[in-house]
Amino acid sequence: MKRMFALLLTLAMVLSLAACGGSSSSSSSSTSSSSSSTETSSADEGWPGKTINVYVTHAAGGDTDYMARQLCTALEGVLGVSVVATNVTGSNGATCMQQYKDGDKDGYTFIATNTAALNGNEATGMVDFGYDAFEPVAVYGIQSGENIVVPADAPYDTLQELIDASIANPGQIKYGTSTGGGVYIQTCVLTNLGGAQFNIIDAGDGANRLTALLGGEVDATSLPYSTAADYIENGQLKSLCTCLSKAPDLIPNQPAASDTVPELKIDTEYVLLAPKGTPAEIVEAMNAAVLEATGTDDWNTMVNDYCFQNPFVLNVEDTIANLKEQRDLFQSFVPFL
Amino acid sequence: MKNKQYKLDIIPGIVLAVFSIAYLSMIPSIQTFTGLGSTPLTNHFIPYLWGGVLLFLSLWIIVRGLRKRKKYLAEGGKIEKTSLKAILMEKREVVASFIALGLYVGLMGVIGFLITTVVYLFVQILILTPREKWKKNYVPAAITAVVAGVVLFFIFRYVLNVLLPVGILSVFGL
Amino acid sequence: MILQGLTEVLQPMTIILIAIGTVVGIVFGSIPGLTATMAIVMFLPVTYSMTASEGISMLMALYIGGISGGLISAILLNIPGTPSSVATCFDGKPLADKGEAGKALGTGVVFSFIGTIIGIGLLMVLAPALCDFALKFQAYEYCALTVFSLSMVIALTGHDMPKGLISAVLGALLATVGLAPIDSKPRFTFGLYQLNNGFALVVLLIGLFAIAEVMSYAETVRQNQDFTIRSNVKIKGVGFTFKEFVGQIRNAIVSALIGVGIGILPGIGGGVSCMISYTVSKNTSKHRELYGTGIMDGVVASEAANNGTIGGAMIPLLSLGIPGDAATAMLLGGLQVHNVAPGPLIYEKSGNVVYAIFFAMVLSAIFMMLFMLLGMRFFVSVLKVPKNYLLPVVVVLCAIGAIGNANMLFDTYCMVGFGLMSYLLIKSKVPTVPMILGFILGPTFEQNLRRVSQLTSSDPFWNHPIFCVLIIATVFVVIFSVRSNLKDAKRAEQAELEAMQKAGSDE
Repeated sequence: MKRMFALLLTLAMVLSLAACGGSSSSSSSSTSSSSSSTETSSADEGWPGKTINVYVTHAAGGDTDYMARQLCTALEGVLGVSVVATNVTGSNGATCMQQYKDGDKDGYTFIATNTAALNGNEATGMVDFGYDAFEPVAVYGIQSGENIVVPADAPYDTLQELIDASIANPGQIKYGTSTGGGVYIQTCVLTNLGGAQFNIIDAGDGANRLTALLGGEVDATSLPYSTAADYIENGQLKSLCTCLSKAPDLIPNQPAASDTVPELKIDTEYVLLAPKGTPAEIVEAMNAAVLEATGTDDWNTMVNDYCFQNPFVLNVEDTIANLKEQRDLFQSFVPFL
Repeated sequence: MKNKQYKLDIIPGIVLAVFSIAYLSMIPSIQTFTGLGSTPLTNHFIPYLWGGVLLFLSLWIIVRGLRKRKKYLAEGGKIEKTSLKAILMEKREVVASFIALGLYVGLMGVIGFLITTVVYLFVQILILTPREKWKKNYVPAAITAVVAGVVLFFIFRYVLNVLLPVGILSVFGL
Repeated sequence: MILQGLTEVLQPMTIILIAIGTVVGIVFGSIPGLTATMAIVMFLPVTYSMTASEGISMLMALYIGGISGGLISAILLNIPGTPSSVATCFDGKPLADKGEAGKALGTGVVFSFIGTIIGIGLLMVLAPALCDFALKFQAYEYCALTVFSLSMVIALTGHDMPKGLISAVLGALLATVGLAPIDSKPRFTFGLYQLNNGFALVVLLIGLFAIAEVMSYAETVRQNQDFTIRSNVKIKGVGFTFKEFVGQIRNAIVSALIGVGIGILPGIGGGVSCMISYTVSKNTSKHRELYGTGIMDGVVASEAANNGTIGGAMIPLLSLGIPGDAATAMLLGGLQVHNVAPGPLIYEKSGNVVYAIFFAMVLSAIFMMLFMLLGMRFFVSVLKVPKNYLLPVVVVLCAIGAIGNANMLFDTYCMVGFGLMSYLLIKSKVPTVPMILGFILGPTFEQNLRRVSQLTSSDPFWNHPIFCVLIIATVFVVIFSVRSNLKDAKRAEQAELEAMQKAGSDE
């Protein structure tokens, strides 16, 4: 009797958990509005017939995750099956890519990441494979990018003036970097191809670099636009340039770093990949679904609000060309990384 | 009573000393970084620091244990030998639990979360139950194992999206 | 704006979401292996489709519930539910063993609430001023702060100092596995990419405490013990008297302030704050020898501090846009998704959301206290579940937590490895708690020490008064702790000697 009571208790505990979990996550289910699923999936017989898993290389809360999840939701409407995003994180996305590059090739496994991580990890030697270890599906967005920022009262207003100031006083201007990632590549280009003579200090991730800049530990650094925007607006910091190849569509009046240092183009684009060996028809069909899913007004508004960009979605061929272009650029930096 | 005291210093001390030497010997092969923003203290420094401190501390307790042993022998204590087999027999539930746990996580990837969990729960419950009460516990243990396994699998796999391995059950399209 | 924030929180939908969030948080917090951070990770995507106030309210509720829920399993099972409740075990478990589980739970819950409220209060009133303080903490200051915190280890080691230090160093050593800070070069990974991320704190925690607890139970199987030992647990009201409450006020305030202070400084977190405030409380108490034997003071110190850390961590998050730990990093993402950009302009741009967050936090804290006090009878009944049934289920939950942490099966192997290590250490009389502190602080120390090595040439240490003060404080703490440890050791030896003589005379 006592034992049965105990059993019931354990059960009640477990079930109460189930109740809590179930009630609050039901709101994530898709609100499918279109019935065009038959049209797009005709490329491959019967695909998609079950839940599609999308593995996201970066943690929930970041931009890579947000964009991936927005895409998944939009894809559910087009494909008519569940598209579930799961985060497998670590080492700037390398953990996930390593784990799923040879994953199931049945068209139900995809990887959502960003191009700077994909090509950057290869260039810095973190991993020994590049985009060609995958079947690229689609580039589906572009980030608002990183800006080179300095305190508002700093004596330089352009990237050229900052570089000149560093040459005039070699090793005196402290530049905050984050060793290993896209920011590191950018710092290396600035130093080796731009000729800057900074005292390079490791200052950690975006938030830490912000702290270091505000606290005066570094004199200049690069920050994601979204992190720096408020400080620029309230007059604590000023932006010298964006590191994107061209300023974001919705914040157009910014000089690009490549005007001063031509090679300094760090474009972070969101990209969907499939494991190597996934049938070409499925890749094409998925690309078509992505194009359709991102062709809506909702998507447009979301991208405008979140990325300060207009929608940027490529077909398979252009996606591969795009990845190759960035890889070649990043590989040209390898000698001094 | 005092007999074991010195053993509790000497044996862990030796194990930890060996471990720290192995750890220290691996440090030179770590790639250092010399690019921009590299620090004067390389990524070898802290491992050397911790490894060195651990080695020092383990030598400290070895010496302390040896002193205790000397004192114990001087007081006329005798050294009792306990065989490893006797210890393992004495702690057989612990050994069995670790084996069960090891098999559980080891086989989970291949066989799948659901089946291994049900089996593991059943086995572990019995391990933690005195032998003479096994008979009375077969049924409740089996029910607990199946119910808990199934409920947890479905909640975490399908509601909370944890990637619990499906394993051989994938033939059912789970 | 304040009113607008209040009305947004008082929408029925928001209140329901806060209630759900609090309960889910408590459940995640109380189950070993599932943490507050994991609850936020799992529910963050759900909030993408809500309004800003709804989403962030729910996340705050998860956070507060999750940090508070950890005390349940810490007290009842001696397994901390989250890293933040490690120190709650020290006195919570002995209290429960005395048959006063109700008192321990009640104390934990009420003082968690008080800690949360003190944290929120400081967040609302002093956020901008405290931010300036946070910005003063750069590489030098962090370096000194971690050294200072590590010196607390000595106080935590008990009377066998070398073994306590071994534990802390072993923790720091485990934390060197993975990509090195700053340069991202792999260390001790044996070519396994799964090890690049290093070991996860939650996996270490499970191994050290949950698996070890199962094994220590396994040792007693043949001793034919009663399965339902503590069926005589009675709970009256909140479990303690008003007089006892008054007696703890000073302790609670000091602990909560320590918690807030540590929360403000990014990168340290609740796991450290509870241990530091426990140590401070113990060393400033008139009856320090009673700590660890099951007194309210210890539970109060730990729980007020870890909940104070919540408010503290929100200060740099909201006013600077700088997250202090993994949980607040998730919250930052949750805000940005709704176009609320934390930073100096958040009050001007999204003031209503900020006030909504404050009110949501207060409401979550109230719900947390309410649910946990109401649930106390139910929690205590966990003790009636035979442990031979309960513990295997806990192990499975831990395995799920280990897998869910990074969605990697590999972490379960680490869990078993740490469990084995922990068992052997306990058998060797090496305490396992200092390991957690070493594991958390080791990497922070390394990173900042190496940054300091970059800075020394251009920026010598005497420019950093906080650094100097902390280093001097460390020296004092070490001297004080070593002295009192020696005293404790002598006392313990004497007690042992007396016991032996007594045993001898009995024969």
